[in-house]
Amino acid sequence: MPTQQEIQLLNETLFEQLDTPGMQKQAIDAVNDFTRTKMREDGFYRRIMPPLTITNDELDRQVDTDKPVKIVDKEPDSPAAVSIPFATLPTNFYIRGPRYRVMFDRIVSPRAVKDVDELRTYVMDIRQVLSDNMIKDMLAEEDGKFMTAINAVLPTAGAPAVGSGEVQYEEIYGGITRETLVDALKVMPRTASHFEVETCLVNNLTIKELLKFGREEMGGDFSQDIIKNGWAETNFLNCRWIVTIKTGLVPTDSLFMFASPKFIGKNYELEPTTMYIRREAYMLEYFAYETTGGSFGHTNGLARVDFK
Amino acid sequence: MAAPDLPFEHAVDIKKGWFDMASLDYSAKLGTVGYTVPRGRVVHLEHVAGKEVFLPGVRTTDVAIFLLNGANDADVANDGTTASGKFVQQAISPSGKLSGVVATGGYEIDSTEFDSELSYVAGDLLTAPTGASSGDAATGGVLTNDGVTQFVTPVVGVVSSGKHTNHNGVYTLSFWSVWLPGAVPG
Repeated sequence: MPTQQEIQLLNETLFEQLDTPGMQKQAIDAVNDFTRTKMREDGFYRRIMPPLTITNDELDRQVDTDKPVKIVDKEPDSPAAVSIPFATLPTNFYIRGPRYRVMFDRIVSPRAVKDVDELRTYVMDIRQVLSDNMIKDMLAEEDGKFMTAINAVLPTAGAPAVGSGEVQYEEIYGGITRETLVDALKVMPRTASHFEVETCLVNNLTIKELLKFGREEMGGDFSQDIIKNGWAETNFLNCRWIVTIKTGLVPTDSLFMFASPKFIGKNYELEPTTMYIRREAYMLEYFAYETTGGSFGHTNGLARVDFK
Repeated sequence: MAAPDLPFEHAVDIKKGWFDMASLDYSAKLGTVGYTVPRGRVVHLEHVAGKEVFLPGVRTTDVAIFLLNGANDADVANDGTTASGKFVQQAISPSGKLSGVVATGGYEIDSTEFDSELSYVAGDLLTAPTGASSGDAATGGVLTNDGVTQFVTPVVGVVSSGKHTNHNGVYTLSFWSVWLPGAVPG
């Protein structure tokens, strides 16, 4: 934790950089270092589907648009092998590989405007103030788009999922117990793809139900540890558990399950999170932006259970 | 496969007044519309089920918004099924939002989305009829000077240099954006 003197020194350094012609880039870099760290820590979409950097050379040009598009190959299905008697030839199939498209858009924070003389009176780390509010908005937007897409694939409990045609959203009665949790983990492997759950996403209220597990239910000292220290991120049921405070996106008593990202789709980052800062005379303006694109190419790696 | 649509076949060029960080634009998702809304169409903002959406054309007091994006643009939509309903992908992005410039801003606009059968002279008032059903595809949000009466019909623009064929060989109409509410439902 920096001291107040250190924080004021940081603020002065930032102002000095903004004051010097041609030094805006350095000021932007100072904020960018911090921005990227927070982004990795906080967004659950980025943790479930880590962003892959994509360059101009990797984009696929289109006839009807000059906007960035990436085409991704999908593993093709193939006819099953069969047993045949001797002197019989195999049937033919022509190789056709499916593909899907990833398209991009920009996420931008609101643009903040402030008189620099009013900023001088702050004793907090001004760089953190500048970036935190922006990042919170952008993370909420990223996670919101991710959950909107999941809800589009898994619209209703008991209904077939879009794409796979198999039920991957179920309601399980009996609350959250060892038995119902294990039953939840069967939903995804039951599909034709047989994926195993790699990551579980719940909100910070749902996870507290696990604190109620006794020694015999949770397993030995783990129960003691979480009742003493609370839930810390750990592997549980051979899955990585991500806990979010975004209860508006991840409802209480709902469990979202994800296979390895390579079975789900792509999350591309064309323009990493960038903080734009400009000062004109005594007015400072700043905003953050990024360009990303994502698609689910295969939906068997998504599942949801609501505990009742 | 549907014939590709070139980027300039349906478009608005903002000849004056955009872009600048202070330019007045607006973004929202499209409401329920029975046809593919191209770039350049005029829309207005409406609240449907508590959410802001764009719908084609303008009613009495609606402020016109000239779409920079079409509903099928690569940064707006990534439809995930084939014509027969087979799954291709489910988009996480783009989000479905379209963007446009607001008529109260000071713009001179060159748009492909106008009734090119009519004649236009400088000073003509322009409106854009509403219409979101599939039968309105040719007229919903399309600029016209037909039957426009000052202070009665909602006005979205005033013709500047008028109708011409642009450098891409596409008919366009140049006009200044204005906002003049109508007195009766448009």
